Amino acid sequence: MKEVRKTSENVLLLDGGNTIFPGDRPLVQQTQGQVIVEAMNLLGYDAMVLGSEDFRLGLDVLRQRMEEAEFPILSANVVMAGTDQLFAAPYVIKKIGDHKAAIIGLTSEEAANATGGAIVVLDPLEALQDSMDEVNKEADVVIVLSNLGTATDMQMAGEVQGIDLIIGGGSRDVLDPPLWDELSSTVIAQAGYQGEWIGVASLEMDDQGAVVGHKGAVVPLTEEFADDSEMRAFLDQYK
Amino acid sequence: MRRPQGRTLIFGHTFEENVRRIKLVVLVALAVVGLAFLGCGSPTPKRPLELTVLHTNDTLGSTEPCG
Repeated sequence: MKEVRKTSENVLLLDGGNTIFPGDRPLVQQTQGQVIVEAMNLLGYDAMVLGSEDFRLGLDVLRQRMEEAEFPILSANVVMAGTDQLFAAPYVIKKIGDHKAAIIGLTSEEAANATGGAIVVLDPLEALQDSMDEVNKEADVVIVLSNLGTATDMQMAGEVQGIDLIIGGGSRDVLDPPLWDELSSTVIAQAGYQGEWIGVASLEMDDQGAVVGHKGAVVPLTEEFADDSEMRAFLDQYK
Repeated sequence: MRRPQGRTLIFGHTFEENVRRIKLVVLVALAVVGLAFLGCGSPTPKRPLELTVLHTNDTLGSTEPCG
């Protein structure tokens, strides 16, 4: 990440969800995901979407993690049960060069099962269209952080016009290279699971923010990549 | 309008009146040039964008060292 940031002018670091939930990791269980949020703060994430697994922390703990995060944790389609109140911010708009990029988050419907009915997961494509109607007034680049899985991401690219990039999660696919929907000019990327890969998607856009060229790869984080000393020192304090 | 006594009249106005008018014209001209320089009134053309997105997903709390 540091290398890419050194060599590229406009870089975003994004996460497609199911990242805070501890799974079977003792340190993350013990801190209820706090260590992950602190690590993401250190890495300088720009945004993430709430994945269905992240809701297994419980709403109160999850809210606490969201407050600790120095980056927006998004979801445009999760509302508190019996209300129309969104659980998280639906999107964030970031200025990049001369352009404004909207980053919209979508959560999969399994999130409702994880909370015992405390939340309702709205139709993601309808919620996306609502957010698109709002962000299109301001932004000329649209990125969707989707925890819906690759099949739904492909459907989304075909049905909702104006998406430039979908960063996926939920189906744990290694899309190398990323998929390209020719008709909608949408790039669909996803980078595996359990921190074993990092995805790199490079978009070339014209002065109107339309994608005119793209390339991408999913890089396996093998031992060729030495541990970052700053991150190692951060984790060592938990020993 | 009564003109001040003992002043030189140029184009029917006193010297001081003409100086005030010239100052006003210069100020307006500077303001117009300044606004044009700042791009007011017409949108600044955007440059093409090269955007790199690094991304992760489904990490499930992994803090394991890579490799």
